[in-house]
Amino acid sequence: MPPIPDLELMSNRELVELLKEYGISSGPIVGSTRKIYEKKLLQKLTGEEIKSQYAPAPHDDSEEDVPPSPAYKDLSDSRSQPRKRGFRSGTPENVEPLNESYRRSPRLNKKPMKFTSTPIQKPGNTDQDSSKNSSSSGGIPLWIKIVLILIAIVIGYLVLQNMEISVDNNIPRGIEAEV
Amino acid sequence: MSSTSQKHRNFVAEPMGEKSVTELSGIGDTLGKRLSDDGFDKAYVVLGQFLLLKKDEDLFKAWLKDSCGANAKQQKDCHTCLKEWCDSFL
Repeated sequence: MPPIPDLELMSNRELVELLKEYGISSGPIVGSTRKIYEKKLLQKLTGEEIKSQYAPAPHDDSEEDVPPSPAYKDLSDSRSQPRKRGFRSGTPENVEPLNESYRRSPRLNKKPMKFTSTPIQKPGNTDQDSSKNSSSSGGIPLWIKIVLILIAIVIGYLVLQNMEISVDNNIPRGIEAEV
Repeated sequence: MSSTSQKHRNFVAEPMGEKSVTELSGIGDTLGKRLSDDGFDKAYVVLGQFLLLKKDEDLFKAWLKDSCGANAKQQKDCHTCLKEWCDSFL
């Protein structure tokens, strides 16, 4: 097995060449992309997984309920240490019940979250923009649909009631006319 | 009903302009803060990174995981969101 080159010491050009050698199509190697390409090359060279320096974010991070992924092995302690400790000590046994509880809860949480998500998720926009977005995008909120369906059912029931009464009224009139 | 979220639909419906990074699908407060701390405070900066990685799905997901600890679903949501936005507006 060839010795693993020190990727951090290589120039951007050399890194591009090395990526080509390993068949990894690459974009420009700049400050923000270099680290990822280095990790990808390391992964190819050593067969290890790319590890995140961060602990996984909590479930409330996106609007949908996301079961927490298994704890990552962290590379460095430089950031967010208290949270890291919590996740490091979390064994798979601790993680699985959390997964189950999040799986159970999505149905419960979805409706309230839909109510609250629109004001929360747009701090930069005005309320007018958010209301315009919700009405113009074509997605009618679920609760409005439910209300409309209920109103339709109520109207239908009232119509049926009135129809029965009118039939009853017609019969006596018909008899009276013949007599 | 489609499988995409309201957040996703809102984002891909219009040019992103000056939208915050937390308006990207999959990116909430925690991930958004981590990205902002690295300088990725606006959605267009994350778009820039996506384009620098030549819109490669695996690389972008790996970068998201590395830079803010996004899990697989969050990576997928964010990538899909940006990809569809690019298909419409880029």
